[in-house]
Amino acid sequence: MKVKNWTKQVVILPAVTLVAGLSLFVGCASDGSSPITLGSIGEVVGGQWGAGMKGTQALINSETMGEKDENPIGESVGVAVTAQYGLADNAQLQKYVNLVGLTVVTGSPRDGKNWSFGVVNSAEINAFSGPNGYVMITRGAIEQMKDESELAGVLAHEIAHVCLQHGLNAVKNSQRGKALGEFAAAADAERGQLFKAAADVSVDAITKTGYDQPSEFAADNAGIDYVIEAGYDPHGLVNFLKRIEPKAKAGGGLSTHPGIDQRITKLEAKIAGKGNVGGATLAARFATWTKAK
Amino acid sequence: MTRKATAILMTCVLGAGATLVLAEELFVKDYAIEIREGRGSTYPVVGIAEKGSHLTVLERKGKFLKVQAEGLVGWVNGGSMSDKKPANSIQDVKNPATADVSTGAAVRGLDPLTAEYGKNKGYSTAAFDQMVNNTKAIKPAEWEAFTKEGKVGPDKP
Repeated sequence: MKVKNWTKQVVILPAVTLVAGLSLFVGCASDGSSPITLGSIGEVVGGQWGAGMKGTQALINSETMGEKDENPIGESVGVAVTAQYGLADNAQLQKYVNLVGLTVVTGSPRDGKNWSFGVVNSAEINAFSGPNGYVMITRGAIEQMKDESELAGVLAHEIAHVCLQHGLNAVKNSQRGKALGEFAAAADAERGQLFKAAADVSVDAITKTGYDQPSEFAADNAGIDYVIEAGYDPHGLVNFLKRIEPKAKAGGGLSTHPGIDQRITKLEAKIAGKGNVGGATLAARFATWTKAK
Repeated sequence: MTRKATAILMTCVLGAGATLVLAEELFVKDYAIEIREGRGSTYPVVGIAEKGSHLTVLERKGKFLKVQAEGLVGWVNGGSMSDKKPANSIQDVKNPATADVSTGAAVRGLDPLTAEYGKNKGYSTAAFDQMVNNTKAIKPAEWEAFTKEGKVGPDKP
C-alpha cells in the first residue's frame, strides 16, 4: 500500500458508497406551483454530457463503474436541481436543515460518510436525494411542517434511499443498465462516455419508472428506524404526510409511487411494532430556526 | 518445562495475542471511504482510503473505528470495513494534504465530470457549491451543541 500523489491520479474518484439516482419523496405531492416537474428534472439531468471528458483509466465492470461514477452523478443531480430552483435565500434555514440532517444520519448505517443538505427555493412540496449523500428539500415542504421531528422524518426517508442504494438498483435493473454493463466491460472504454451513459441510465431509470413501491416503502421503513435511533419522534413523518395528503391527492402524481394512504398505514404499523415510541419533537426550536432569516 | 518457563511462555503467548488484537487490520470494502478527524460526518476529512486498503484499528467506539494508515490517523464507519480483502481492490490511501489543489479538490470539490456537465448544460454550479459549503461550514462543536440542546443524535436520552 502506498500513498499516491493526487496530481498523478488518473480519474479516480472519492465516491464513498454506492447510491445512485434521484428520488422523489413526495413526487405526487406537488401543489402545482413548481417551475419544474418530474419530467423536466429528467430532461435536465439526463441530457447530453460533454464529449470532451476522456479518462484514460480502463473501467473494470458495471459494478465498479457505478461506484466510481456515483459521486459525479450525484453532484450533477445536485447541480441540475439547485440550478433550476436555486437555493432558498436563508442562511439560518440552510444551517438548520444541515444540523437536523446530520443528526438523523447518526441513526443511519452511513454515519461518518459524505452528506450535504440543502433547501431549494420552490413552493413545491418535495424532497430529493442524489447519489453519495446529497439531499435537497423544498422550501414549500418545510413551510408545511410543524416541528423538527417532521423535518427529521422527511430527511430520514431521503437518507434511507441513499443508504439502501435504491437509485443504483434502479439503474442496474434497467435494460439500459444491462447494456451499459456490456459497454463498460469493453477494454479502453472512455470514461467520459461511460459516465454520460451512466448518468443517462440513472436518470432515465428513475424519472421514467420511478422507484418501485417496495423501494418507497423500504425507505419509509428504514427512515423510521433512523429517526428513532437518532432520538426523534417517529410520528413526525406520519403527521406531515397526513397534513399534505389533500394537496398530494389534488396534484395527482406518479403511478409508480405508492399512495400516501398506503404509506401512512404502513408507517403507523411500523411505529406500532416499535412500541409506539416517542421522541423529540422540538416544535419551539423548529419555529425559531425556520422563522429566522 | 518448569512452571516458571510455562508462565513466561504463556505470558508471551498472551502478550502476542493482545498485540494481535491491537494491531487488527481490516480492509475497506466500499469503493472509497473518508477518514475523518472525529466520529461523524461533521468532522473534517483527513484522508481517503480506497477499496481494499488495509487499515490498522487503534480503537473502537460504537460503530466507529479509529484507524491508522500511511501516517493518517482518523475515524471511519466500521460498516465500511471487512476482515476479507474485497475483489477489485484499489488499495491506496490518499492524503489530501499532499494533493494538488486541482485534483485534490475531489476530496470534496466539484468533480471535473460534474463541472463539464454543468458547463454543457449551461447551469451555474454556484448554488450546488454553496450547498456543499454550507454543510462544510458547520463546526463539530456547533453540531454537538445542537444535539445536546435537543437531546437527539448522540445525546438522546
